[in-house]
Parts: sequence; C-alpha cells; structure tokens
Amino acid sequence: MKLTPAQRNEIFRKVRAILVRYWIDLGFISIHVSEQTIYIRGSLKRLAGVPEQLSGAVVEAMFAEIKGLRGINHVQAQFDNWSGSVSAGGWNPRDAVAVSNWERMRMASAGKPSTFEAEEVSDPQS
Amino acid sequence: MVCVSEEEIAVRKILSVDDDDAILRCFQRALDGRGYKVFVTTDPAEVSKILEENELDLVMLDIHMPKKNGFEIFQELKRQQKKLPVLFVTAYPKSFSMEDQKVLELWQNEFADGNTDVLYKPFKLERLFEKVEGLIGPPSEHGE
Repeated sequence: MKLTPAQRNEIFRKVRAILVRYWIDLGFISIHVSEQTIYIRGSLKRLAGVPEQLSGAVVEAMFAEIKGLRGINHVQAQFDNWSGSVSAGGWNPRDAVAVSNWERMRMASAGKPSTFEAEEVSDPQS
Repeated sequence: MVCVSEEEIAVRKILSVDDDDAILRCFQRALDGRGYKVFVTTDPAEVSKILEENELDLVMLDIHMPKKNGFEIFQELKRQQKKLPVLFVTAYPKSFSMEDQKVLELWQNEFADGNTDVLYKPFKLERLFEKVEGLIGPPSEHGE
C-alpha cells in the first residue's frame, strides 16, 4: 500500500515524537519513510546533559514503539555508534570512545559556523 | 497532457531566520531550486509580519542570533498559537543541552508533538532536504 504524503508526514511526526520522548538528539538522526518501511540512521545518542546513558533495553523499547506505529510494516535502523537490529534486538553500543564520522566532521568545523557544503546547489535557471 | 493551474499546485512556503546573510542566501538558493518558496530575514522582528502576510508551512530558526535567539522566536510562535513545524539550525554542539533550562522545558513541553527537528551545521544539502521534507513533505502536492 502506497502511503499518501499526509500519511507519511504523520509517520515522520510520530517517529520524531517517540525519539524526543526518549531524549534522542534529533540532530544526529536521519529518518526516511518509503512505502511502509521506516529507515533510521545516523548516530543514536541522547541530548547533551541527559544523565542516564542509553541502554540496549531502552533502545529495544524505543523501537518496539516505533514498530507499533499504525501503517508501518518494517523498521530498519543502522547507527554508527550502536550495533543490533530492530527485528532481532541485541542492541549494544559500539566502542564507547569511538567518535562518529559525523561528530568528527562537526568537531573539525567548530568555530566555523558559516561553513557548510553548498557545492551541490544547482542553479535552476541554468 | 494534464494541465494544472498555479492555484492547484500549492507550493510549500518556508521562512528562514538567521543572522548570517550568506547562509540565508544559500538556503534560499538550495530550497528554491528544490521547488519550495523561501522567505528569508536576518531580523527576528520581521518574523511576525512575514507570518501575517504569508501562509507558511515551515519556519527554520538559527539558534544563536544577537537580537533574539531561535528559542525565543519559537516560544513567541507558540504563544501566538502558530502550530508550524520548526527546524532549528545550529553550528554549536552544545545548543541542545538538557543543562540549558530553556532547552529542557521546550523538549519536554513543545518538542514532544513531533513537529520539531534539528539540523546541525555543517551539513550536506541532502540532509537539509531530508529534514525539510520530513517536516512538511515535498515542495508541492504534485512533488511526489
């Protein structure tokens, strides 16, 4: 069943709402919805300053909620700082001291707030 | 051939507020090129006027601005009952921290509805488009 744009937006909204409830920093997460599958990728980390560390059990509970969303058949998740799968569970943090590529890129650009990659912009007039 | 009038193609409209004019120009060029209609301002005082004059679908807010920060504008929108999706844009990793009381309150009370997202600089345009489309969908009803 193909989702309408409104249905897709609603799923996006509900996924974000669940992530927010678990204090996940949305800035590190990408969400895609295609047909009835949700794809979530990036780095799974809590908002800075949240005292409780994420645990495998919490991640599993979070995905159980996302999987339970109406109109969704599959959820696929891939993170650079967590291993595991939505269907089989077994969520574990990867090397705790490892810095994600994304984080590394941000750290390298600290103090250069205006820098971002714009070379992909194509002029629609040309 | 199917003819569609301009009225039928409702193009989604975005307002971007940032104190950096270069970033605004880049947002405008990128998102215009994608098919959205983009309004920009470096002056937070103009936000209400633009909102009154245009039916917007999304507001993009820089967090660190000298006159008024993005969180304050966000709270004003909420006070005005403007239930618009909001994309916060920031280059500072500590902008979103639970240690900041404002962030904590917003996260608990306002972000929970799922109509808010965050974009960290630097970013690839693909990520900008992904965040915008995740909040309001494609540029128009016919953009599928």
